[in-house]
Formats: sequence, C-alpha cells, structure tokens
Amino acid sequence: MAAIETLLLLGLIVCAVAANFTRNLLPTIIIYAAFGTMLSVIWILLKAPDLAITEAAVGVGIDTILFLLALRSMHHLDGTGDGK
Amino acid sequence: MKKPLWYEKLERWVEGDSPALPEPLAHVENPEPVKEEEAPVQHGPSLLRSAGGTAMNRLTTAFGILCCAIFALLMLTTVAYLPRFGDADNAPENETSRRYIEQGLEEVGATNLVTNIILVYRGFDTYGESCVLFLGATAVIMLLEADRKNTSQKDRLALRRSDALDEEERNQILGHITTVLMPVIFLYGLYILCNGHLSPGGGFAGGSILGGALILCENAFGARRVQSFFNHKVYHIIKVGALILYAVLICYTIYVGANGLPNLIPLGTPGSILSAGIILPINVAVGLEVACTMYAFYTYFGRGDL
Amino acid sequence: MILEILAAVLIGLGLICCCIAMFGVYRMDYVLTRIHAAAIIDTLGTLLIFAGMILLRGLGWASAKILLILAFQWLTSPVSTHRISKVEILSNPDYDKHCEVE
Repeated sequence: MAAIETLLLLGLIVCAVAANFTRNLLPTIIIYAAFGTMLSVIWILLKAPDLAITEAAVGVGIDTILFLLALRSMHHLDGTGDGK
Repeated sequence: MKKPLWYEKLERWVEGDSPALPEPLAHVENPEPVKEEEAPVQHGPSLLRSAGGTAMNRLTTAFGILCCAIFALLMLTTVAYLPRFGDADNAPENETSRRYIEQGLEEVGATNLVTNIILVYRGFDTYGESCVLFLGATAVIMLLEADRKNTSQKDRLALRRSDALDEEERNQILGHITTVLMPVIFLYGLYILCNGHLSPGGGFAGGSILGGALILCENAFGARRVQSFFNHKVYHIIKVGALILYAVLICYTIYVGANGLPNLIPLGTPGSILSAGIILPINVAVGLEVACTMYAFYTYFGRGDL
Repeated sequence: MILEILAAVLIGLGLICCCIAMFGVYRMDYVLTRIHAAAIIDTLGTLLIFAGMILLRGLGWASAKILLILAFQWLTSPVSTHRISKVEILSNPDYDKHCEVE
C-alpha cells in the first residue's frame, strides 16, 4: 500500500510540474483532471471518503467542464472552427 | 539558448504532439500578428498562447517559477515546524475534538462524524460556503447573461447556427445511453445526498453529481428539453428556497444552542434514514443549491441563458 | 491456488493491454488513431483486470460492485470515444488526410 501511495504522490508532483510547462491551455486542463483523479485516490487511502467523492465529482468532473467552456468562450480552442 | 533534448521531448509530449515528428518548436510564436490591431478580442488569447516566446514572456515565466519556488519553500518550512504525528499534546488532541468524537452522536445524531462537524458544530462556516455559491452564481448571471446589450447579431447567429447543428447532429447513441444511465445517475446522486448523515457523502458531493447529471441531460437531449422542467422560475425558487431553508435551520440551531434551550427537533435512532434532526434537510438544501449552481455555471458559460 | 494463478494471469494480461494502449497513444500522431489505441484500456483492459479481481475475491458483494463498475465503464466509455471522434470529424474538414476513414 505504501508503494501505491508513493507512486500516487510522485504522480501528483509530476502532474503539478507538467501543468506549468504547457504552451497551450487545453493540455493544462487535462493534466489538472489527472491531478484531481490521483488526489481523490489519495484521499481514499487517507481514509477521507467524503473528500474523495467531492474531489472526484467537483474537481475532476465539473471543474474540467467549466474550464473547457471558459476556453471556448475565449475562442481559445484551436482547430475547432470556433474562433472563425 | 539551446534547450536540452529531454526538455524538448517532455515539452512536445506535454503538448500532445507526436514524439516521432521532428518539427521545429517555434512555429506558433505569433499566429496572427497583423490581425491584432483590427481585432482586439484576439489579443488576450494570443498573449496566453505564446508563453515562453519573447523576452517579456520568458521573464514572466521566470518570475512565475520564482514565485512558485518561494511559496514551496515557505510551505516546506511550515511542514518542518508541524508537531509530530500522534503526540499526546497535539492540537487535534484537545477538548474540542474529544467532545466532537465522544458526544457528537448523542448531541447531533449523525453516525457520520464529519457531517456532524461541518453541518452543525461548524454549521456557520458551511452556511458561508453556500452563500459563496449563491453569490458566485449570481455574479455569473450578471456578467454572462446574453441579453440585448451585450450580444451582437453575429453572436446570436452563431448561437442559432450551433443550435441547428446540434439538432441536426442529435446523437442517437448518446441519447439512448443517456436514457439508460440518467435514472441511475440521479439515483446515485440522491443516495449520496440523502445518506450524508449515515455514510460518506453529503450535500456538496451529491449536489455536484446531480448537477453533472443535468449537464449530461442538456448535452444529450438539447437545451429545450431541459428548459421544459428547469426554467428560470424553477431555478430561482429552488435556489432562494434552499438558501432560506438553510439559513432558518442554522439560525434555529445557533439560537437553541447559545441559550441552552431544549432541542425540539427529535433526533431519532442513530443509523436510520430519518434521524439526526436538522442534518437531513440541511444536506438536501445544500445539495439543491450546489446542483443549481453547477448547472447555471454550465449554461451561462456556454450559451448565456438557462 | 489455481484460482490465484489464473487471476494473476488475467490481471497481467490486462496490464499488458493497458501498456499496449499507452504505447499506441504515445506512438500515433492523429486524434482518431490515438483514440483507437486509447479505447483498449477502457474496454479490454478493465474487463481483464476486473475478471482477475473477481477471481481473487470470490463471488459476493464486492464482485457485484465490480461488475456494476464494469457495466458503467462499458456503457460510458465507448460513447465518449464516439463523441470525441465525432467532434473531430465535424470540426476538421481534412481529417482524411491523416488517416483513411470509410
């Protein structure tokens, strides 16, 4: 179990660093969703299922949708024919 | 300055390009330099898009990294000064938490101690969070509502065109799967919402699941179908009603607790669904509030109308 | 004993499927082909891994929950894959330059 926890924590760090090194905002959002998924698994391992459910529903689901919508209303999604 | 190869590879992998393509990196520096004067709307996105391009951007990136490093250093120093895990005289070992753990079940009645604490003992803070949600949704409506003043003919045409495209491409697969899954998702959200005092979950988690289900509904069946049961009137009634219900209940709890009066609401037997006094209605109120807020965020960000 | 070995073999096969899918996502260069690779994880990988987990735990409430998760995954994941590819085809007019689409 400790190995899984260490792997997840390392994944958190990698995601947090990688989100800064993107030049486009779309991969940042996807990396943030991955960060939230790993964080919710870590909450379960830390015996906090309340937080895990909330993180999975809000942090991964709804936040990603809202960020994508914000990008779309900024006409920032490349290749979708949206900004034309 | 030549970037090292691993950094380039990492950057390209993060960008989502193929690692096999040997394309040059500096091709999206300034995508439309000519159009920037005539279309000021494009200015912000293109600034965001080419981070790390010019000297100014590189300075900004360096400053950001510096800020992050300083912040990380501060946090790590704080962690070094934290008390050891499991010490007898730690802050979590004081009388407040002991009272929460030992007498929470008799005083409040929910078997989920976390719900006891966040909804009754610290209910005022959670009420503040609900107010934040309410104010956030109100601000989004004020800013993003598409009325005659802030939309042009072009925006309306684009919206109508995309609606027509949606209708035309109304997806059979998504519709059927949503018909199958929608009751299950709603049931799961309601279960988490109503069992917040017995098992993990509660208002925020269940409400956001309900909001996500509404968003899925809107995607699968179109905005008009959702508007038939969730229009402005229903939205305002649910939103204001839930907040008022929460405010009344929390005022009652604070008044009773501060004056030492007997609690008139029966607590019931711990572990049954109709127990724990005011926690169940508070959970339902918070859940409805969160669901409405999430769906309103979604629709106002997307179409500018409910 | 035999059940555990079988479960280990199943979980290993599932992990190999996931690795192949990861490699495919990393190797391919266009959205549709990448989605084609990534969908392996959601269907075959989860099926094999969950089958191994059910063999390990035996029949009971845990395996019923695992089957429910599998059903949910199999219902939702192909739909989302289909939606993503549909969006790509609708928004990119020259998608068939990158790969052949019937």
